[in-house]
Amino acid sequence: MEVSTFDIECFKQGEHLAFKTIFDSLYHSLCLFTNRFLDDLAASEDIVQEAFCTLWNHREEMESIVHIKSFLYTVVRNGVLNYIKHQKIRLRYEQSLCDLEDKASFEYFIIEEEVERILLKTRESLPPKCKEIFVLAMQGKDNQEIARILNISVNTVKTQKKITYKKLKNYIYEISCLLLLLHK
Amino acid sequence: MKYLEHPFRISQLILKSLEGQLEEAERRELDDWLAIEANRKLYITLSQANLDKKKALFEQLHPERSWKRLEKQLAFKRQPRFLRIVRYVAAVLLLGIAGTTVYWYQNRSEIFSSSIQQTEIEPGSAKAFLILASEEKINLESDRIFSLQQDSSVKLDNKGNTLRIESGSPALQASQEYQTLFVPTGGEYKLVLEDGSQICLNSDTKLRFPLVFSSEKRVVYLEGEAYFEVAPDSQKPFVVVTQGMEVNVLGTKFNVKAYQGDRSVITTLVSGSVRIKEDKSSRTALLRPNEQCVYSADDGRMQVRSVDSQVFLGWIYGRFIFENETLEEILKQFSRWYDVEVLFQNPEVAGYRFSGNVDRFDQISTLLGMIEKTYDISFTVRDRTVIVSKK
Repeated sequence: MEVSTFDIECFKQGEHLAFKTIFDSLYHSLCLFTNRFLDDLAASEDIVQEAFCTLWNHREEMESIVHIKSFLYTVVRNGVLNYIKHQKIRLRYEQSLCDLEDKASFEYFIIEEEVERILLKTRESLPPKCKEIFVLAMQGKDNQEIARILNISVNTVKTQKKITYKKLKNYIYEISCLLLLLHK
Repeated sequence: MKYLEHPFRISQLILKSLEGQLEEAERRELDDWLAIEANRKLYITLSQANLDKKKALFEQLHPERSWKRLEKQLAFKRQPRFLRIVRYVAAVLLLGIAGTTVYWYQNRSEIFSSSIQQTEIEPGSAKAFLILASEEKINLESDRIFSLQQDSSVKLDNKGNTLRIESGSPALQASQEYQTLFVPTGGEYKLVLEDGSQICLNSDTKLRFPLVFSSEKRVVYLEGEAYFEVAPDSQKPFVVVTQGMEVNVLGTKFNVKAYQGDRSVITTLVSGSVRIKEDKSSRTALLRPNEQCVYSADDGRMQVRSVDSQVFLGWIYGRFIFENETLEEILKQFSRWYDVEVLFQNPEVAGYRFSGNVDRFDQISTLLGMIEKTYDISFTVRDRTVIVSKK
């Protein structure tokens, strides 16, 4: 289930089911984001869980899902820095520290998580045939190649791709709605 | 830059470009960003993203465990019911005091020349009537045990917002006469039948049932919405008859929504299996758990689809749960529970869709306020009428 503006209103009012919806939709991406720096899934999950706890305590200030995401990514980033500070062997995290302190690479990681989250969600929601085509297209194959590999016509590839784009569009639409709200 | 808006904007542009749907201005925006070598590298990585690796990592996570710990950490358990009731009582008392004060003040100095009376709209509560075959009407507001004149071996125990039928053997033939449990708008009630089957009745619902079932079949008649947990008895099928169709079961959990004004009867199955039979053509449909049958009363069509049954059961847990539901349907449910009329000034807004999960015991103004924030809709509440208009 995706997060609606209605959920955010409920969340602000302290509805924990709305909080669960937000948790479910962002938990995985945030964990993998954290894991990039720590390479330790268990520690990453702890940090993300803490971040959601902080979010709950600040819920009344949240204005939109973009606001919530920004908040979470920032809290998680600080969580990682804190974690590294308390490690005895800092050497292991030298690169992570650099990445975290550099604003550009921090943003790169967010972009990566966001894009991959939606691509994966799209892929998982596709019927089997569509999925195969999507995977091949993601590997950089053009329509002709895909048609040959799967032994189907180029036109079939095209129509199946349309279905995929429609799904993808729905998910992108979510982001754009949120951005529109933000720019109002 | 407000918050971290930038990375989300870029994510959106990348996805749109992978989809091939970039508009000219967006293309330029993305190109500017791609002018930097490192950015282009990221773009290439993403357009060939290794999603399998990602999925494998996803599967190693334990969101449920984290959520449980989070719940414990924040200690947000549902407020016990009595506390909520105390809150309502306190609110009513306060209103009472305020009212008296205003009245007193008004009488003293006549500052308020016109008395504006705003009716407070309260959520529904447990209430029901038992209508006997003799058309006698019994209000079930007080706890008591009683029996109907014809047969004293059948006891009716009304306690804790539940009416329980208990039959001692042998029951008289007369006990097979049908009685009606009527739950008015703004009400809900529970019923436990003689065979142990439990039924939750939603607002504005009538259920006709016998005190004792006949020897072959257990038949009840429904108009409105009810959730059934049917006691298993393979010898005696349980049948719910509604307008135009019936649901046949042996022992299962399911919800039936069959309001007179609605164009369709919706049956949602939680567990077990049920068979739905149309009256006219005797066509049937078999439901599996988490499937729903939408029967259209107009053309007799039956459509089966997969759903999350919990969404349709929100009401028995004291919630309104909507998933991409039209405003028309949402307000219809509100009108039954809060006992209000709804008037659309702009008919097109009736089709707007919303998702949400809210407490049924909240004030209607709170719920309407949430919807108002989401769309350009405004609600005016006058007496017991909600007027919906476009901003």
